[in-house]
Amino acid sequence: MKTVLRWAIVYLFLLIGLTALGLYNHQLSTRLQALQTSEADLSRKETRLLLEQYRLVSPLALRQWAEANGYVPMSLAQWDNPRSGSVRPAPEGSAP
Amino acid sequence: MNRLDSSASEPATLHRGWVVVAAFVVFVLGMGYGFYVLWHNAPSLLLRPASAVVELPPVRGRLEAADGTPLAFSTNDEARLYPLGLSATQLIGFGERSTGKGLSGLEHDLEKLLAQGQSLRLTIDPQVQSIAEQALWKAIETAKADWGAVVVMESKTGRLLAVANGPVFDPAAPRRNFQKDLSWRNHAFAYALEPGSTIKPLTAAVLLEEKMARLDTRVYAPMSRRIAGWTINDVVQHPETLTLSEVLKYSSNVGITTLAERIPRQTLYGYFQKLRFMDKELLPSISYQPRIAVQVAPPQVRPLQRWGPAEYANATFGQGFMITPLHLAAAYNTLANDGVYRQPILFEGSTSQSAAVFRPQVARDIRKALTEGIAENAKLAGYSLAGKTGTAQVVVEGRYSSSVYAALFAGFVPAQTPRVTVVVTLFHPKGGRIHGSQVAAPVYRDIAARLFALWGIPPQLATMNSSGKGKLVR
Repeated sequence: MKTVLRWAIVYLFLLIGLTALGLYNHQLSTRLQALQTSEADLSRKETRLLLEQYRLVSPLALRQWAEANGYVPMSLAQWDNPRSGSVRPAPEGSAP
Repeated sequence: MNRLDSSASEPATLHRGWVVVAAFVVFVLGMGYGFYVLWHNAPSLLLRPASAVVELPPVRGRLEAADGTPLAFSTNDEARLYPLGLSATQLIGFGERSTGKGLSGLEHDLEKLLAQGQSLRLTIDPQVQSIAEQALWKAIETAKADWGAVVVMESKTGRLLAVANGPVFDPAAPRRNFQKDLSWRNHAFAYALEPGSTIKPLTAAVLLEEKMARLDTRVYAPMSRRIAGWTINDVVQHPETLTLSEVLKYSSNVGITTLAERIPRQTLYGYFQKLRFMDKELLPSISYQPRIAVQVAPPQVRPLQRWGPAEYANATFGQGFMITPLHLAAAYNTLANDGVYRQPILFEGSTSQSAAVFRPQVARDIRKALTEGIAENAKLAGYSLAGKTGTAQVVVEGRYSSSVYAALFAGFVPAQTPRVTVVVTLFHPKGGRIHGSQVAAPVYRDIAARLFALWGIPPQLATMNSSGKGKLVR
């Protein structure tokens, strides 16, 4: 009877150990799943922000915004020549 | 007694046996459950079955601009995204909504690489691309043109800095009829057209290279002449005798055809070959096994044996053969690059082959002539620009149309030491203004102006007024 009890205790400990390990892994897996979902959400958010960034500051958007707000490229602007005292007029259509 | 003893000890043995069996069963079940949990749910177990690990297909490769700006990329959720919106969309192309599989442009041509997740970096400069697109889209609207294209090529390296097309195309918008609405097409690569008078400087370069003329060589050039039963007319009024420089300035068909008679047909044809006017594969391949390359429309040039006197005369001023704007840009770049032809390249890391076509002095002389004779609408005060206009008749239903034209301008920025070669094409502009000098030259000028601003080059007031540096008036 003692032998049986001894074995039963050994089996019980092993069983408890294995079940505990399984449970721990299960929890770890659940956490991993949550992190993966969170990562996917963040990745989607990053993509959205990237698109928004380029929508606002892409060279074409920036240029259109600047020119709509009075930007004139320096090559088309009025230039003052100190030696001659003359001013190169801005070409037609280049003024804001 | 013995029987009684044995019967007394039997129940105890049986009881112990059942306990052992029960414990073993419980143990096996528990153990089995434990392994099941570990095996299927363990996040880092080496023995995890392959079926439990989901193998995702590779995300489609990215297309990037030269500075790393993403032009098109995919995520696990989105088949294809275009961060720059409407910019370079015809060059990039588009694909199937669900899978992203390429249907046009680079998405189609590079399908094999992109589908495997391989990313590619283009030579396109987003700043230059936006400059070209802004100027082109404005001009298409003003000229009511069917479509337009601009190619900006870096003179020394052959790198394509901008490949702009219009009208605008939004790959994310609902698709329209592809046959009727051509805004999706990369016309710069996909449409071969007659380059018209933009070819005259190249014919003049051949005359100079072959030492058959100089810039000051005079030629009798009335407003029209007949060749093999065909009448060739000039459009711009000019004196009856012109120098070769003036032939370019007034864009005299009569002048260039008369002078070109000094060289044999095969000579000009040979230079067309050197300038890759017959080349179907203009851009270098990205991969040779299997062959993966960006598609360019094949040029249509008659074989030499079919060049009669009229065909030869036509060819000297850019009629009777068809090339893409890309072909024209690469050929013009030879003049910008001191006579050395540079193969255009679209991807970082590609090798641009080069070959000397003209002597450096010949290229410089032609650039000088193009600076002096540049169209008024292409001039930019304070800067030196050079280029040539072209207005080509378009064949509609087998005959040259009297109403459909292609307006072109090909030039360099700046004129003396060009950094880029620019080719502008506007197809079928409508209204009273249909010539290259009226609708294409202003696009070139707008692009040049913004490129100078981008590069931080102020105007040289000496070329406007007197010498000396100026300051910006606020």
